[in-house]
Amino acid sequence: MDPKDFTRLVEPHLGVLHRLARRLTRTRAEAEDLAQDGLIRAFERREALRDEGRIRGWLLATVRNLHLNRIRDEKPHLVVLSGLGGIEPRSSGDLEREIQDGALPDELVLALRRLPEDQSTVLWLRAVEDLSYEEIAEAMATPVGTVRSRLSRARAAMIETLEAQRLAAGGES
Amino acid sequence: MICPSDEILSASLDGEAGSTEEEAVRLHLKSCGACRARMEDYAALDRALRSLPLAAEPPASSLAGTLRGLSAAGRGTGWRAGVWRTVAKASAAAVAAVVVAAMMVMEPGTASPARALADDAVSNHLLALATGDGSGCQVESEDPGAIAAWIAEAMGREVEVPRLAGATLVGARRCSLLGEETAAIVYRAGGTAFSIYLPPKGSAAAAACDGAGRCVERGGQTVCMLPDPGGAPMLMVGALPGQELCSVAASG
Repeated sequence: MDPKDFTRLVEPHLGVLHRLARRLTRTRAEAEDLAQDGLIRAFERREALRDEGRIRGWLLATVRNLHLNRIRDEKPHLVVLSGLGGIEPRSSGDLEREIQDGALPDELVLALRRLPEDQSTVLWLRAVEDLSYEEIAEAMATPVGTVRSRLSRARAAMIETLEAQRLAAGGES
Repeated sequence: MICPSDEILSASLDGEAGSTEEEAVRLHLKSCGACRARMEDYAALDRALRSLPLAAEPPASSLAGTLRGLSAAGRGTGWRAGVWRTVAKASAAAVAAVVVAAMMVMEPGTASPARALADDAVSNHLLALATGDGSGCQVESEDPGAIAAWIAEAMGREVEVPRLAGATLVGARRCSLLGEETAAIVYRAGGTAFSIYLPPKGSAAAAACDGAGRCVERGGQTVCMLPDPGGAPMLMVGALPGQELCSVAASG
């Protein structure tokens, strides 16, 4: 593939690539490194892309695989799952209304972070980036049926977590 | 009344359930408040996620710069023969070793120090061109003497900066190949940059260059390893097809 064609095909997807990298990593600097390295890796392997229509999933798969390889090589690190950064659960008592009003950004981010990576990524790519199940399957190198079940589990877990946070904050049951 | 599974409700929300499932869900929701509430929770969750600041965050500007750099790094083919003819002439002894060995060996994807070196060099070359001002250099000069002096000061190494007719010396940078500090010299010809690496004697990179000269391709970039009996090999990286390089080197 000609480098100019690669640029033309990839440019519209830099946003989704960047946001995925941000979601997968802990800091903005790590995300920039990951996105940049993923882009270079994709460029180096661009001849492997047989169907230009699948470039978005292929790009995302490249970045995610790079990330998974890196964390596999990393030494284990401690992840603090409670008391994060002064995030305090708060609630006005109605889960659906709070979600709809966008009143739970911290809780949402926290709940998303607590999901297994394969579930949170599926949910993000579907709900935010509007990828089809087929594209998500391409990005995660997994069958469409697995995407469907992971997405269902992710949504159920998110709602359960948000509900628990609401109750812990003294909301109505 | 049997409610559809969460998985079917979730897929239905996304329009990804099968037609039979979709119809069953549609009929079921008419009479099941609990499932309607479940669907509303899913939809509200999706909307909330889309409203997070990250959902609207644009890509870092460096990413677009990287993409432009990649495009520039791999641009063009018409200049290649000229560049490599001049490279071949300027590096006659080293290129001769390659030609005598008969081979611009197009290496298979086997794990080896040479392959690791090639991967490392290509990544370094592309990354250098994609970051900073895009020149791939920490110091810029067309004067080989100035570049050699900078390398001596910055790295404590005496190197001979190759003079390549037809290619313009751009500058140099310090970099790392196989974990060891290496000098990289950047040239430009036909609007495209290529890097020549001068790994120090005794380094892992120099050792990986040992044996027959070889040329490997990695993602549109060609890596040419030019061994040196004196232990001072060179490594070239640029968007150059190996077979073309082979013929140019052989005719040079």
